[in-house]
Amino acid sequence: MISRFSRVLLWTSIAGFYDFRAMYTWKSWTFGWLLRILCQVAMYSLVGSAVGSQSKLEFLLVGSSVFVAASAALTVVASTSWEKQNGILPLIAAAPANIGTVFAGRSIQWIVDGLSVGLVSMFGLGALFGIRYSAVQIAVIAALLLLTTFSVYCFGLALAAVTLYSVNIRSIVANVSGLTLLIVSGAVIPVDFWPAWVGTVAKELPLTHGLAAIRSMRESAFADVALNGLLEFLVAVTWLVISYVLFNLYLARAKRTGSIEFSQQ
Amino acid sequence: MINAAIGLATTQFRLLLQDQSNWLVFITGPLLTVAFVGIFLSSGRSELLPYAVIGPALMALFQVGLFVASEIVATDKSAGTIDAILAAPTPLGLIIGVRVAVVSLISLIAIPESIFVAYLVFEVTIPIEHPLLLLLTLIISLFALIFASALISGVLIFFRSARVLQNSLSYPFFLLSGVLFPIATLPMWIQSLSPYVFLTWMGVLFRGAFFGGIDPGSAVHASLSLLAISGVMLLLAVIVFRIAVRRMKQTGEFGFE
Repeated sequence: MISRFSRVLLWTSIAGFYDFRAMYTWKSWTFGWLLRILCQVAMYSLVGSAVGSQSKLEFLLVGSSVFVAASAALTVVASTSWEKQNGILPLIAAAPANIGTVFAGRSIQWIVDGLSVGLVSMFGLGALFGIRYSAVQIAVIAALLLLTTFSVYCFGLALAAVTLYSVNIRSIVANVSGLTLLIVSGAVIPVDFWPAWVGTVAKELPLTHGLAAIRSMRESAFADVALNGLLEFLVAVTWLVISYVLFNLYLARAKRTGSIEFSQQ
Repeated sequence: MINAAIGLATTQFRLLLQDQSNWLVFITGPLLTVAFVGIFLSSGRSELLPYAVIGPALMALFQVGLFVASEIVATDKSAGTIDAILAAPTPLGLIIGVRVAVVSLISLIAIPESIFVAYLVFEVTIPIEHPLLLLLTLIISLFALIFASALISGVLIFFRSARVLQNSLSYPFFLLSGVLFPIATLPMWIQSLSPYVFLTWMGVLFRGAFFGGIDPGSAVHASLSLLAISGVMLLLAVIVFRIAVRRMKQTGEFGFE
């Protein structure tokens, strides 16, 4: 069972990386995508600079670096929809592998993409803005960023499962959910600025705890790092389970209604 | 000619309605307004609100040009209608111009939308200090957007991975033009590039028209700069399209791709 799960995850991941290679060359990724991301993070950082304090600049640089990693992970919503548009769903439905596992592996390249742009933004751009990290901080923050990106990816999988019902709205779903995370998670605006109920919602969403853990690591508050890291992991697992349920509900309904077909809708 | 223009405008409007992704920016724009107004208010810097309200609207205008208007030719190429367009008696300039103009005109919705959202979420009221300047800015900006979109549209014909190029262009322009923060915040060497970006002057004019704090000399300077950059973009668009059409005819590359 575990071996089949790993095999499915391995092969779907490999397919995902081949997709990524077809989409980007190293030049277009570096001088197109990465450059764009660095400009985006630099823009948020300069907004912090305009506000007038180094701490605000750092707050926005760290928050927006984590946000760009999250945004890349949310591409899973679109890439899952592409499978339906490409007519792959009938094959997935006929295969013995669980649809949840297939889609969990199929877009895993976006985690690597998100982690890469997030790390370059946080440490590379951070150095340009005079933000220094110790070796321990770099190692722990990199691990926390991976966890946070994975958590957002799991959330994206759940959104992707819902979006399969109407793939035309994939860009709207991915962008609106990404920007909602930006606003409520504490990435660019402190969570306590909002009414209490927003904070309550934010705690159920990915990014919030991971980001809090990363910010705590900057202050070497290790107990907060551990607590928030654990909470982010729990949020990730919860959304992963939800995505499995939603994918299987979609497949069961599609089989029942005979609606697994080549579809642009 | 007028009938052709009306027909083109109507067709373009219908095409816009067909695809929900064309309207994405009108959903994400207001969310960015919330984010940036939130950043400035939570930092106690309400005097920077002109950037937070106008900035996301300008970003939306640029993105509509980049992702919707500029895809007109690329879509015609992939749909196989480009050869019929090139063979038609209506001048290509009119076809591209009218269709891009429809998209650019609709994109201006982003400005009142951003103002409305700032009021709705934060109860921030935006004044109109100089109505005449606002009218003038809207007119000049519309032409700037049309010419910028036409230019990008022409350039995209030469790129295989148009989407990668589109995704890459937006934030470098936002950064250079200082739509969200005073230009003085940028390092000096980047500041020297800002006057060559049309968004820089649109930002100066829109912020001045809504919030005031702009003297007549600065308004004239910004308007003339925006007009000059628009003229250059128009010229470049014409050159790029001439090269593209000549190449497509020579190589037989136009048609279904």
